[in-house]
Amino acid sequence: MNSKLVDLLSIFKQSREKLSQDFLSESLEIFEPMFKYENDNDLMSLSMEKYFTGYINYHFEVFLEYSNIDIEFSKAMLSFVKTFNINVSDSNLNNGKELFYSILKQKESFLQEMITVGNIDSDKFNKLSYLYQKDKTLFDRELNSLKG
Amino acid sequence: MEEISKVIDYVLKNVEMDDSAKKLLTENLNIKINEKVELYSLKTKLEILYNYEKNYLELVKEFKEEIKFASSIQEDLRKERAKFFAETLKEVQSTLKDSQVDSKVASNWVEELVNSYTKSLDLSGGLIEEHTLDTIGRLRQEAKQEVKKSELK
Repeated sequence: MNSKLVDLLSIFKQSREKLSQDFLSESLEIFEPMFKYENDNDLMSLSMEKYFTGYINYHFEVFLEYSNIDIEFSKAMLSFVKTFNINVSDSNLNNGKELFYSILKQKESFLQEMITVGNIDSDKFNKLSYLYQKDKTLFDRELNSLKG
Repeated sequence: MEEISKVIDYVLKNVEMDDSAKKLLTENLNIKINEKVELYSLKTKLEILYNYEKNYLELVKEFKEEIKFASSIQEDLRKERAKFFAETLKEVQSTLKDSQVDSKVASNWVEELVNSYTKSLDLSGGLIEEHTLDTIGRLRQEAKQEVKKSELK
């Protein structure tokens, strides 16, 4: 019981450490868009969302170093993801960790694609708005399909 | 008390003696017997209380490590939260300033950093609280069982 809690707390702590370390070490993922999109709020917002989605994903990477806490980790991650206003129904994700991770990973890639489109498209606002809406809907749809 | 008086009266019913002497004897017997009964009842209650305290202390000893553990992880989290706001955040702001990031951009990113960091700390705090409540629940449950056992002895 105690060791499971220690492992769980450790996953969240390691992820927090990465978060602050990325800012302190001027990680490109953060600092590049800060300058590149200084005058473009849409692309700046997408870059932020992409970075922080990556931060959520990082918990799954750290989780791979641990064993025997599948259920506890899934429950904790479900609560955690919900605090980021990601619309997840009370799904049973105990057996869907990999799928959950891959969906978040897809979201991250999708955000990157949108940023790329935003960089080259002249009519980027409408296209970004459309892609963003589509991504949100597809993302929610996929997460909700994980219902146990 | 009344019951005892009735029993004494019954026993002395056929004894031939002066009424006033009988009354005095009844009263004396009544007092003496009641003293014994009260003492016995007090002794029983004290014994239950002693056993309860003894078992409770044993339980606390048994849960000592659990209590220490819960208190230490709570303290670690409290320290980390304090350090983040007192030191790390200042270092991050200084890094952003040194890198000449636009102040509005920097403030948006820092806001999201604080938001994400705090959510993670809060979630960890919730997990610790859940664990602590669970430990307290188990301690109470065992204490109840011990009380039941000592009452049955």
